[in-house]
Amino acid sequence: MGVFISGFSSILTGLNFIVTIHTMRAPGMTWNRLPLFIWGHYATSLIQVLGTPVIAITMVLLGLERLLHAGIFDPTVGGDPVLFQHLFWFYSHPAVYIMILPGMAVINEIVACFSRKAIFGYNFVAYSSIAIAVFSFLVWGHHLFVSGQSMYASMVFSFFSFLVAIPSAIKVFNWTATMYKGSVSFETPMLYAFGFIGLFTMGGLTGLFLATMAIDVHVTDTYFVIAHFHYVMVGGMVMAYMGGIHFWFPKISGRLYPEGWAKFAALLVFVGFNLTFFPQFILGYQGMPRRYAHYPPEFQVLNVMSSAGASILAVGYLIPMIYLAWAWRYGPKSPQNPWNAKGLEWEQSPTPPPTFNFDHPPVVTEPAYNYSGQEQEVEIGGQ
Amino acid sequence: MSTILPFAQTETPTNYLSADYGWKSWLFATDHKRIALLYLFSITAFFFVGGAFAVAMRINLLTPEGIFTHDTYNKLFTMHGIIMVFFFLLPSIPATLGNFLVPMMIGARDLAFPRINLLSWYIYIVGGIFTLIAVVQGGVDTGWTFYAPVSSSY
Repeated sequence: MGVFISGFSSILTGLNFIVTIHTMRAPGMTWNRLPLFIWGHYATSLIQVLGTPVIAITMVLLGLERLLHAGIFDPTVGGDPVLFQHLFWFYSHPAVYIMILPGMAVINEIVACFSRKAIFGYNFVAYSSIAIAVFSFLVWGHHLFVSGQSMYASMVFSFFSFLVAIPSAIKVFNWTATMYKGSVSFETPMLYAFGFIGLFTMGGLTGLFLATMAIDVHVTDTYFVIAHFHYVMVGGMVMAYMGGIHFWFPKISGRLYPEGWAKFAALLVFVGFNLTFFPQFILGYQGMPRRYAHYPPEFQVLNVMSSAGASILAVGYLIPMIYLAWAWRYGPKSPQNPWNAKGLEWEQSPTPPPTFNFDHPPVVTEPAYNYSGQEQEVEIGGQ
Repeated sequence: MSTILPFAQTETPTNYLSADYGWKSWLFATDHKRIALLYLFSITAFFFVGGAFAVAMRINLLTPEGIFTHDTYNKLFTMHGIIMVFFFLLPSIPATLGNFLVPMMIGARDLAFPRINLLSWYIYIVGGIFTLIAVVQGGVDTGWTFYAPVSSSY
C-alpha cells in the first residue's frame, strides 16, 4: 500500500518537471544552453512518468491476489510466479535509473564548477541521459536469468544490459575529459564527485559481470549482487546527493558550512563505504547467499570487516547532519556566489533566493558552463 | 539628519525563508523551494530509519549464529530495502535538489504546477506513514522485491 501510494508522488513530480522544462524556460534559454542537470532530470522524469504506473498495477494485482486468491501469481490456483517477477522488474529496473540519472546530473554541475571548465562533449552527455532512459526499459530480464526464463530471452537481455552501460561510460569519460587541463580544486563537493566517479565505475563494471549470464549463474542472489548495487546506489547516488547538498547549501540556506568538518566527513564516508562493501564482493564470490541471517563460520572475518566499515559509514553520515544543522543557524553568511559558479541559479538569483526566484526575469545570452568567458557570436545592438 | 523611507526597509532583503513564518506557511507552501525543504527533512528522516535497520542487520552478521531469529532478520532486510529504495533513493535528488533548482536553472519563477508539487509531498508522506504502520504491525518479510507466491499467499 505504501509503495503504491508513494508511486503517485513520483509520477506527479516527473510530470511537473517535464511541463516546466518544456514551457517555462527564460528567454534565450534554448535546449542547447540548458545545464546538464536539467537534461538529467528531464530524462529521469520521462522514466518516472512512463514506468511508475507499472509498479502501481503490479501492487494492485498483488493486493487482489492476497484478497481474492485469483490465481494471477499463485501456481496452485493456475497462476504464474514468474509473471510477478516480470511485472515487478519492468518498473524496478528503470527505477534504478531514476535513482542514478539525477546523481549524474549533480556531478555534471560539480565537475564543471570545480574544474573551471565547460563539460566536455555537452551534446554527448545530454543525449546519453536520454539514451539511458530509453534503454533502461529494455533490460529488466537480467533480474530473471535464473528464474526459468528462456535462454534466448536471457541472451537478448544480457546484450541490452551491455548496451545500456555505454551511455554511462560516455559520461564517465566526459567528466574525466572535463577535468583534463582544467583548474581542479578540491572542495568538499568535488571530493564527493571524485568518490562518485570512482565508485560508480566500480559498481557499473561489476554490473557488467552480472549481465554476463555465465557469471551471473554463479553469483546471483549472493553478496556479490548486494555489493554491486550498493556501490552504484550508495557509492554513486548517495555520494552525489551529499556532494549536491554541500554544493548548493549556501544557495539554499544563505550560509556556509564548515569546510574542515565537511572534508573529514567525506573521507570517513569514503573509507567506511569501501570497508563495508568491498568485502561483500569477495563474500558473494565465495558463495555467501544474500538475505541469510546465519552463515557458515568461514565467512566471519569478512563479515566482521563489513560491519566495522558500516559503523564508520554511519558516523560519516551523522557528522554532516550535525554540522549542516549548526551551519543553518550559526554558519557565516554566504556571498551570492561562493564557488564562482556559472548558472542562472548562482549568477542571477540572490542567496538565499526570494520567493519568486529572480529580482528581474533573466535573459540568457551565453552557452552553458561558460567558464572560459566566450561571448555568443551575435552582439545585439552593438555600436 | 535621517530621512524617512516611504516603506520599511529591512537590513536583509526578504528571501523564501523569511517570507512567512509559522507551520501553516510551510505545510501549505506552494513555493517550490519550501517544498524542496519539506522533502529534504522527510527524506533525511527516512534515511536514518532505513539506516537503523541496516545497522541492526550488520550487528546480526557479526557472528555466524547471529542474534535475531530468521523471521526477524527477514523483516529487517525487507524494511531496509523498502524504506531505502522507495522513500529515500527514488525521491532524494529529484524531490529535493530537483525541486529547488530546476525552476531556478531555467530562469522560471516556479514549477508549472506548484500545488501539484505540494500534493506530491503529501502523497509521499501518506505512503510513508502506511509503510511505517506496516513496520509497527509486525513488518513485511518478503524482501523488498515482494516475490510471489510468498507475498501473495501469506
